[in-house]
Amino acid sequence: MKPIWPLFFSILSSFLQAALDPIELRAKVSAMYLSESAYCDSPKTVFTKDTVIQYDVFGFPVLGVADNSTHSFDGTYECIIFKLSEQFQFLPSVTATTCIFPNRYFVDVCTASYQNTEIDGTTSSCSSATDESVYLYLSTASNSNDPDVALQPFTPPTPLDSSKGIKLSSSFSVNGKVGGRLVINGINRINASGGTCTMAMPKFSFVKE
Amino acid sequence: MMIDLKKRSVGLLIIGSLVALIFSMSRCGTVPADVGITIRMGNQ
Repeated sequence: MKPIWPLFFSILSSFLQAALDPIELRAKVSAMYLSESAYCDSPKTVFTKDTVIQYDVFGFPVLGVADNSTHSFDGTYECIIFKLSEQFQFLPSVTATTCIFPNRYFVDVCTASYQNTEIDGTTSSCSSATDESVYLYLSTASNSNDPDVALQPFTPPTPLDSSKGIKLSSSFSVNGKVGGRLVINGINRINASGGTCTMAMPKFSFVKE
Repeated sequence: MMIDLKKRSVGLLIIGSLVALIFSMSRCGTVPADVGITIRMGNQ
């Protein structure tokens, strides 16, 4: 009977150590901009938040409502920009090795390997020191939508580099009332096999509602 | 005795595999992929 236990635990631990899903994922989004340029030039401010709130994306929160009666946003946009905190808070769906349910964990997604381009064009490298604000660029000129490959989501694409930014599958047309959702998909992004419970870059996308 | 041990081993292996399978299946479909933050534009 002795030889069976290592095999049993091997099978069980392979499942336990697999990438985990969050059942709560909190993000702080403080501004949204639209640009008719696929390279995100001359963005219009849709809204900015004076008070930054942490939103749990699983609750499908409404970030803001832009009033077209005072400022028309009608048009076709090739680039959507969100200002957000690089820090996400997540709750793993189960306990597995270093990830303990119901503990909540923080992760800084903009590490030193990433560049951040602010809305005025200023660029800088991210650091792991503080909770920095970053700008997420979703553009029809970008061809990056896989967070597992090297990508620069916080920098707009250029005519020479379509790997920057996040792929926006189609233009965002505004003609009166319209809604959209910044999707933050954390499925299989929590890593419990390292020394600490952490999460890789979630998969960002934008869908029109 | 030898046969009993083998049977028990096979039984434990099956039970272990089933536990792992149920555990993995319990995670499937519980987390939606399209969660996010909504923005509404216009007079809504």
